[in-house]
Amino acid sequence: MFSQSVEMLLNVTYREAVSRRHAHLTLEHLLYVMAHDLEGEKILAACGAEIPRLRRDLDTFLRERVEQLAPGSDKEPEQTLAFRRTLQAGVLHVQSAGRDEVRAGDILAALMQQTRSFARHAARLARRHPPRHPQLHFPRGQQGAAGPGAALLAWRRPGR
Amino acid sequence: MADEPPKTGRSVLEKTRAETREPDLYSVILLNDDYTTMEFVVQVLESVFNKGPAEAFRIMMLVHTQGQGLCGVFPWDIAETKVAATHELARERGFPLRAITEKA
Repeated sequence: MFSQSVEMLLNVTYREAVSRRHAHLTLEHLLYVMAHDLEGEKILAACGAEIPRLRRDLDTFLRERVEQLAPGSDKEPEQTLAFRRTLQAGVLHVQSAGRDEVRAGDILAALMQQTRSFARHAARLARRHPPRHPQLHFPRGQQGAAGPGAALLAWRRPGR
Repeated sequence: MADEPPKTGRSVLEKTRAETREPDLYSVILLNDDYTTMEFVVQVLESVFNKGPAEAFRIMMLVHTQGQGLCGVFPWDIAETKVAATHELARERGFPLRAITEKA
């Protein structure tokens, strides 16, 4: 169902939340990890994201807005509803596309559909140029690696 | 070509609306009812909202006396999850306790 690299991504995301002692496992954790993952970084960069800024914004959010578990509590971080929805959307998308593996780009595309999330906001803020045609201009050669879903984030650079 | 002044003079201003506003935060509010026990409300506040006993008791009394109590302000994602967790716990135990979200 999930590609090996996505499995790994999710695993690291979970550990990121645990190591921060966070009560929730959020999309911001996921995008933060994606911005550190070699493949994820490539996808985000191809979409025009400024990676250092994205990392910084997400880290600030995670530190300031996600509550920590009470001291002494041994609870595990719990997935938020939006996190679950995002994974489901990724799976559904891949199923209806007739593929059998969810790749990182699919997850990213699903994440960008969560309109009220800070992760989406941060990703949009980190773009170097304002979008023109968000859907259509993901460079062809790179679609394979990222999954066509990544095109949702991409746009054409302003022509001169 | 790009430098040519527009022929409309100043009568048409280009509007660019950058989407830079940070997503809203949401308050989660517990509502009073006549059936949910005080103990259960305290338990919800401690387990779902990670409140200490003192704070949980205070918020529970607010709900009890004023009809509602603010449990915290969160990003949408987390607020929504906490409301769902509260309702889930209440249903399991057979209480009609409700929580709502409000733009903070």
